Amino acid sequence: MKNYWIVTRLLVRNMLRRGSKKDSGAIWAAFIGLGVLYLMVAGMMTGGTYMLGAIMGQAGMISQLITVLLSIGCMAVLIFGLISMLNTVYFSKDTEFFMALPVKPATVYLAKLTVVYAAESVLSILLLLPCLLTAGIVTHMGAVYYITMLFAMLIVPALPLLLASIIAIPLMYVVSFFRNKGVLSSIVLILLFGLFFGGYALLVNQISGAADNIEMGSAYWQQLAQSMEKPLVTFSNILFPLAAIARFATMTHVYGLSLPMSMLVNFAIFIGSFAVLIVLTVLISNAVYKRSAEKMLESGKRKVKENVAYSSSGVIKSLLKKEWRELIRTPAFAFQSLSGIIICPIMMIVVGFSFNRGVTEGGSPEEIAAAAQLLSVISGFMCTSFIAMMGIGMNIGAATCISREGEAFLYSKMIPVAPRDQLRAKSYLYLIISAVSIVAGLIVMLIMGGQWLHVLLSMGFLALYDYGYVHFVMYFDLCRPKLHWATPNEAVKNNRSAILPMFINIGVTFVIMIVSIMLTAIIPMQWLGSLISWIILYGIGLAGSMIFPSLLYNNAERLYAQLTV
Amino acid sequence: MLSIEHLSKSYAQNSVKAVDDLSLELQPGEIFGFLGPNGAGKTTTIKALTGILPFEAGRIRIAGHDIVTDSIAAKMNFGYVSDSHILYDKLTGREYVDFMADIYGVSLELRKTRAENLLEKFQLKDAFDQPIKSYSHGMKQKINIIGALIHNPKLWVLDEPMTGLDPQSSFELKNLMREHCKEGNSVFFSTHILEVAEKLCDRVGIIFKGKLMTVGSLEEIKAQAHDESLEEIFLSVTGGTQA
Repeated sequence: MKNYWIVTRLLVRNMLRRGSKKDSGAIWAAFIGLGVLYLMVAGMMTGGTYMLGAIMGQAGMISQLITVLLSIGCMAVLIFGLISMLNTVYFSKDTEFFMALPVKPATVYLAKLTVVYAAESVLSILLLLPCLLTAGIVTHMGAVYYITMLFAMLIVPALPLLLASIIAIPLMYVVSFFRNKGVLSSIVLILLFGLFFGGYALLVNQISGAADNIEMGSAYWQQLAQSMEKPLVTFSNILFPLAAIARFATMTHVYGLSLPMSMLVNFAIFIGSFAVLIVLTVLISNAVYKRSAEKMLESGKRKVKENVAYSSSGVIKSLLKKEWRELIRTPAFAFQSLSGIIICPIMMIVVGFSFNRGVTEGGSPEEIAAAAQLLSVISGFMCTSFIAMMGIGMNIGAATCISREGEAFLYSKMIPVAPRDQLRAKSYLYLIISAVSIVAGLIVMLIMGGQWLHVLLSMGFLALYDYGYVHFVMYFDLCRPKLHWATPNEAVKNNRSAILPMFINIGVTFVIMIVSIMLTAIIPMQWLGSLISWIILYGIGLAGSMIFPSLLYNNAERLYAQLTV
Repeated sequence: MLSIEHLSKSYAQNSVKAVDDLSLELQPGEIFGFLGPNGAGKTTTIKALTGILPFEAGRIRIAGHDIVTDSIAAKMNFGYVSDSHILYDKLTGREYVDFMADIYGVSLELRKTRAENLLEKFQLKDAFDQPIKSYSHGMKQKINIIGALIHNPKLWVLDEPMTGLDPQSSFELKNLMREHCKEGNSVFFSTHILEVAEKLCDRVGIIFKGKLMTVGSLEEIKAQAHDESLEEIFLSVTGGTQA
């Protein structure tokens, strides 16, 4: 136990220390920017919870509502925490250091898990706090609810993390037998991510789909409750510990027991599940973590392939291949850079399903046709914005192309290749990656009923926007890259070059979406609204594609010269 | 102090033999130089004896403790200076040394005495409270060494320790090795620098393709090789040009 605290303290200290002495103005500006963005997101979540709370409160399904909210927190931790956990526990460079110390590997494992938990619970709390507060207010909850939720918010992030850590131990052990551990882990992670995200989107769609064909009237809430009951009960059964704490907080009777007994049983289920997961984690980590970690340390010591021929490439192609290999063979890098390829089509499916229900009643056939046409145009612009947001904006590879080099940037300064050519090679790779996301998104958009003309116009706009964005993020990273890092996580996740441009892109694409939808909906002649929207979009795309590449390439020499390792 | 019996370690489901039936014994007060060309198996041997890498065959004991079955006790008895830098470079030198002392259970009084003595020798006092990331390559190596010696281990294991050190620090390190052994402890280090091995070591071993080709004191090895220099012996054992 003593060693657990010593190791945890070391890891926390190293995590919390700032990497370099930056001026406080820039730090404050970053904090204010993040704060404003958080308030925007929290506002949207509060609004959504308020509406959902009102509907489900009326239907007497408050504990199910809380379960859904807690599960969103779990989902976020599972998606983002899994990557942090794998990077911190398995792909970290300090595994060797700890292996030589007189500390049990299980102690190191638990200390690392604690650090990941501490970091990820911040995200979970930021996500859950506005939702749970709103749900409490809108459903008129008492003190027990708020006290329980404070406690639940601390434990909820630990549940998926423990579950993920249990799954990861055999997964990493299996992966360790393969030659390209990095590639395999990357593929497995991206598939897992797609599976979770797709499953969640399908569930949300199923729940919202159940509300179709409901007539507004006196029996509205009863009908709504009936239609939503089945998917929500299934959902609650799957996430049983969360449903238990939600029932405890909302003082819901279970199994025909009295209220105090019901609360006791629910609390015992929640705490019991947590305890079981901790015990399982400790037992499994004691048994196999050391072996898994040792196996991971053997990377690179593989039998040499026979008859491998030399291959010659031009300078740019050679740099591009090197960039790709570095990216794909490091799971954290690959996941962050390639996840857009999975998310983009999934988002298109969700938007497609939501809007394909269309308009079937509410006026004359002409009015219905006009409304359907408007809806189709609006969903088209939404899809285009989402592709820009996810397919282009989640291309973290471009945003960290200099940071990821770390101390090896020294070689980039040494090789007899002009910085602008090195940057050009990098840009080709990231343009290819986002092009794949864009094409995948557009294909799904077409399959889901998108209009040919809209898809073609989107392709042109997205190509221009992508060209500008990739060069913008590369320039942003080149101005102040994070070259000193110990874990890949530090290079891609906790890096301003990755976070700020992503938020800027979310803001820009959000504005694009709102403006184009508003113009299409407000201007009486729909074609004119669409035309103006496309002119604005192409204007933004063209401006970006002209300004940022020249900014990057014209300053490349100077910025390379300024950087030191 | 250190006993390695029939150590074998391979990679890729036994298709790459990194260490092949290696046996070695280190006595208290002895400095042992582990020589070999790149990829010969030096680092794999060191990683096996420090408990970093598992091995399929053989037995390693440090101060009588088996590294596999009694690993914590074995690890308490050695200090390891790896060929890579300290990763926790956002900590200050003092924080890092404190961490190492905590792990090995060194009292405040002892850690102060030992650290200050070493800081003096390495002329690192002024930088001790600076973040490690601001250190030069050699300074990082020095703080690494202080961390490894803070519990005064019976066995001191170093992987290519001279890399990056200035002549003054290199000299101090060699003196430290000698002092450490004078107290009845042992030093096991790998190196490419034959002159260092020649001047410093009581015994040397030359490893090539995972096999320990020769082991003994310099005099013994030279006598076997008809008084050739260590460089000539090294080249002939490892398949170099010299006969």
